[in-house]
Amino acid sequence: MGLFHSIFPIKGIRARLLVAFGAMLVILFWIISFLILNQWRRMILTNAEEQVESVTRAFSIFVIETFIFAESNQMKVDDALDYYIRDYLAREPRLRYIAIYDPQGTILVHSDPQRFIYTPHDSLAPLILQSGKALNRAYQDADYGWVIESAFPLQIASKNWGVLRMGFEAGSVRKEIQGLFYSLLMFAAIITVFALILLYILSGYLTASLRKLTTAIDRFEIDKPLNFEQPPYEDEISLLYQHFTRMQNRLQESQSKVMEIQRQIYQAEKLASIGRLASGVAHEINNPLNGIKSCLYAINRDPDDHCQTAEYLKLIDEGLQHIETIVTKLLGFARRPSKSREAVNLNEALKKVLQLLEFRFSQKQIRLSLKPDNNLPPIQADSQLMQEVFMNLLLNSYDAVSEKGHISVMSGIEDNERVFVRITDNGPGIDPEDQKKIFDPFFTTKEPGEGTGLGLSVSLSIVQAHGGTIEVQSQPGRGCEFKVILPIGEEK
Amino acid sequence: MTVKSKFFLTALPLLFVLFSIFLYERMLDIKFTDVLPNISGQPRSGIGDSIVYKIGVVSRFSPSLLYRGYQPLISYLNSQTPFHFELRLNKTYSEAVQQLASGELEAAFLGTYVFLKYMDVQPIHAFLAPLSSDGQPHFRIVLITREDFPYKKLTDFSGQRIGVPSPLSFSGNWLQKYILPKVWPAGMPKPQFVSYDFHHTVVQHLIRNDLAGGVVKDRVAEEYAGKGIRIVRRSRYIPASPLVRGPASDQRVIEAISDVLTRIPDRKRMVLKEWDAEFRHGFVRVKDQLYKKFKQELDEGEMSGFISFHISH
Repeated sequence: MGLFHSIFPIKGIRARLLVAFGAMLVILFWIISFLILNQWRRMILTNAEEQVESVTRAFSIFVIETFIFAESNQMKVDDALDYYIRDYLAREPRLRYIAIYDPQGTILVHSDPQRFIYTPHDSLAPLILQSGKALNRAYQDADYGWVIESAFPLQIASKNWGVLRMGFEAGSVRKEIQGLFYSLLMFAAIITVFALILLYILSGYLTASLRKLTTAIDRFEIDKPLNFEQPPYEDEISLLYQHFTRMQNRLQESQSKVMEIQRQIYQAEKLASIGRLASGVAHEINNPLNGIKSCLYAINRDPDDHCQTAEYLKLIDEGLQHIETIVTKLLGFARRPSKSREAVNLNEALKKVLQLLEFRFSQKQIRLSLKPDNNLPPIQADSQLMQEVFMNLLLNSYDAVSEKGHISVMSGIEDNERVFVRITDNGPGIDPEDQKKIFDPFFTTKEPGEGTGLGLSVSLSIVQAHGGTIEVQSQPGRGCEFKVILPIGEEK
Repeated sequence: MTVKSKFFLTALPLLFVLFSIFLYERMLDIKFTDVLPNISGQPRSGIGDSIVYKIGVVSRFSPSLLYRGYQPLISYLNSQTPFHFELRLNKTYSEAVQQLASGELEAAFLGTYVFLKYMDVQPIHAFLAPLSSDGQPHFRIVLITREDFPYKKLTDFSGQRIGVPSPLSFSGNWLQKYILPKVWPAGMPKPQFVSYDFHHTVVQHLIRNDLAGGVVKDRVAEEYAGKGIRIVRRSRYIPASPLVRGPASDQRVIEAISDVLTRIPDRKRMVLKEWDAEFRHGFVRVKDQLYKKFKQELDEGEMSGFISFHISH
């Protein structure tokens, strides 16, 4: 089958069956037709030859009688023979010529006067007489066309009168063989087509289960049972189904493990991000805490000043609310992602992340330009994971830009089918060689301890899991742009 | 698709078409020539001698049929004697007798009836006669009828048609010339005699119900044994039809013919099957005396009722 497939690179068992059996059938019918044709051709020729010899033998009796009559009556034999020859030629439409030679091969009579002149000698006549048997042949003549000729010895015992040659047209014999050839060719073609149609139908029945299984596999979802009814009998298709089901189970197990590991990686990366946010968060909490401490100190010093106490308690409350807000945001970011998706407004997710990064950006005096598209439609996504993506990309930009650098964030709609969030910085950009590797896990250009090398890799996998992609454009010295593109999708 | 695939996908159908065309041409080329057998030895014709000795035979049959029976015998003589013989067809017995007498013929096959008729008026002499199946140079004439016909005795044929062969043969004359005048009851209507050229024709007409009876040689009747005929009566033995020589015949030639035809070796007896049915048991030397004696008996019997045909009434 390997050789066959290398010669005929045809896909599909059915097509291969058709080609292989079709070729075999054609060859087989061709051989059978050849054998039949050859046998029938031989029979037709033998029959024609025997007919010609038989007629020549019968006519030879008249010729011999004429010879004897002429001898007895001292007549010229050719005069008498001329009558017989003319008469017989007129009666037998298939007869082309009659020639009679004496025992030495000299022509005595020929039905065609031209031939009498131009073929005056028959060198075979003495040999034919010596053999005592008819010599038959078929040949193509310029005047008569195809001719079957019998050369019959005119002799009784040792008495020889000569040789009689009678030529009959053989065009009808060739037409008969030609008709036979076409009939067999047609027969072989019809049988082959019929057999191929039959084979096509049969192979359809044979491969129907396979096609059903193929269709079921095409619609296969890893977490749903295969939509295919197992054949009731133990054939190859049933075996294939059983093996596929086992493979599906193994895939489901593997997928569960992968997803678990992926969740762990996401969480670890998130915790890493939180670690990086810790100083900012601490500062954010520390400021109101200092205020609270000052208020508490003032209240303790003059507890009877109710007016002051009421004012400071209000300030303490505001400070605590601020701390609560920060902690809530941090907890909200640190929360494990849910397994279900919901309608998420990417602008909101961006704002939440930017609030967490606000202190760090101010520390580095980074100028942030935010241009959200207020008409941005919500997408079906996991809000936590989306925040993680934006956190990773913004931290990446934060690390890239220098003091008083510039980071631009904008969102928008693309082709009415997708939304995007573009994060641009004016950092040093990414080396073209490194651009190929930035999404590889554990790839980082930062100093050891400053990054895990998983941020972009995790971000890409999250976006891809949501049916989107991340495009990156960068030139060394001219900053870098990350564009997160996500499908809008239909709200479920 | 690879180059190999393209090649095969193009070449295979092309090959098939080319082969079909080749086969078509091959099948329609009906040219052939029989192969002549490897011939060794001398040509079958014995031509070469300057003198040709002619042996006459009266052509009562188709010439080619007669040649098929007589030419093999002539060919045997050519192969076994230093002389060269040829058949000469005569239209009538009288012509043959005349040519024998004149020396134009070296010998001639004559019927017994004709020889008896001419032996006293022409210088011709019998020297060979064919043997019958019992090894004697004689034959019988038989009266036959169909198996299912009721005729038991000669008078049963009163007024019926009886077929006879040539009037120049004994069979053609036996019943009406030699028997009926002697034995037929006066006043009873005689049978009607219908002449045919050949003995076989008589039998054929009898079987076809054209005749009530027929008169033929016993040898011919034997050929039809079990084919619907039965013998009513047999004649006495009659001397076989002789091979006759003339007054000018070369004695050496006559002796050579006699010697060869009467001494056919066993290993060559197969050739007898090719000869006329009358000669298939060989020949024996005879003399005129045999025929003269028979003629005398015939004449005397005709005069005195000597011939014993045992006719029952």
